[in-house]
Amino acid sequence: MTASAAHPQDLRAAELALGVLEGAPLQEAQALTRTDEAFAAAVEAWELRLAALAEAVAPVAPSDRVWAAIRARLAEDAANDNVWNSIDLWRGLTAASVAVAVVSLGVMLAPRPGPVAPTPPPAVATASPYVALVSAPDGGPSLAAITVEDDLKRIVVTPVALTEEQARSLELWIVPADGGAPRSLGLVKAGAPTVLSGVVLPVDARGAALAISREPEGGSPTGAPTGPILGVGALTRS
Amino acid sequence: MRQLYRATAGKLNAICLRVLRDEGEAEEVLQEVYLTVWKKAQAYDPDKASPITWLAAIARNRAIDRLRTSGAKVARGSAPLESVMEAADPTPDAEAVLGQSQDSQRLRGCLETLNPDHAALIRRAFFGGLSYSDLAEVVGRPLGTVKTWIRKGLMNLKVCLES
Repeated sequence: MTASAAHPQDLRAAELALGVLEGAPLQEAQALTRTDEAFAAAVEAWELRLAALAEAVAPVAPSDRVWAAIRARLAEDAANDNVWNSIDLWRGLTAASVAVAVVSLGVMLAPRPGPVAPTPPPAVATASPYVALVSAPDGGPSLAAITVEDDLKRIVVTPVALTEEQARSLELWIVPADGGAPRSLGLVKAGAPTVLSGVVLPVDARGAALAISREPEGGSPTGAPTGPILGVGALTRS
Repeated sequence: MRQLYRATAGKLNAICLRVLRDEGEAEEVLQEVYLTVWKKAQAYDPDKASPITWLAAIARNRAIDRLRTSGAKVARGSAPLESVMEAADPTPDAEAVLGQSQDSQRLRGCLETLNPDHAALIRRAFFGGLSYSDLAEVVGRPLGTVKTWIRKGLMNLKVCLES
C-alpha cells in the first residue's frame, strides 16, 4: 500500500481532522468544509476515526466542582426563555426516566421530610390515566408528581421537593405534543397538594409535557411563561 | 444528563488532561463539552459512531481549541524524539481497555501495524494539537520527513481500518 493509492481529498480531510495543516492549506481546507459536503463528511469521518485514539486513555475522575458548575450553568440556561425551544429535547430525554419513575410513583407520593414538609397527598395514583414527574432539567431532583385525568378535568399536583423560596408563585403549564405554545393550567402550592379542576383547554394530554415555572405574584401577567422553568416532565399513561 | 456525566466524565476528563496537562484548564473544557452535548444532543448520529467515540471527538477538539488559544507554550515546551516516543504510547490499563468501544480497539490494533515512528507522530499531533512545522521542530526532523511519515501513517491506518 502506498499513499498514492489514496484519494488526495481524503488525505487532506485526514490532515485537517488531525490538525496538522497550517497557513494557506489550512484555510483552504477549512473553506472547503463549508462549501463541499462530501469533504466535510470525510473530515467528520476522520475525526471519529481518530477519536478512537482518545478513548484509549485511562479515566481520571474529575473534581466534584465540574458537575456543580455544569448544573449551575444549566440552571442559568433554564432561566432563559429560549429554553422553551429545547422542550422537545427535554421531553425525549426525560421520557425514559419518567417511565421508570411511574413504577415507583407510590414511593414518590409517600410523605417525606422536605423543605416544606408536604401534607399527606390525596390518593391519586389509582384512577388517573396520565402521570408526570416534573424534574429539574439537569437530571436534578424530582420537584412534583402530577396526575392528569382525561380532558384535563382534574389535575393533582403533589409537591415532592418544591421549596418556599421557589414558592412565591409557581405556575403549571402544559406543553402540547404538536409543539404549540405552553398553556397555563394554574398556580400550584409548594407545601401541599394542589387540585386543579375545571380547566378547559383544547389540548390533548397524549404526548404532552408539563412544566413548572416561577412567576410573579399571582401568576404570569402575559399568559405565557415569563419566569425560569424549574422543571419539566413528560405525561405518560399510568 | 447526570447519568451521561457519571458514565463518561472520567474518560473525557482524562482526554482533556492529556491534551492540556493542566487540571484547571481541563475542568473548564470539560464543562464546555457537556454543555455543548446538552445543546447538541440531536446532532449525534448512532450510525456514524458509538456515543463515547462521539463524545471523545468533541472533548479532544475542544481541548485542542483551548490549547491553541491559550498560546503555543505547551506545544513548543518539550523537545526531542525520545520524549515523543515516551509520551506516545502508555500501555493502557485493563480498565481503560475494557472501557473502549470497538472502534477504539480496532484503531489500536491498526496503529500497531504502522511503522512505530509514524504512529508516534500521529499520536503526538493528535494529543498535542501540533501542526506539521510544530512537529518538525519538536522532534527535530525535517518538515518533509514529518509530512511524509504522517501521510503514510494516516493512509495505512485507513487501509487497515477498512480491511
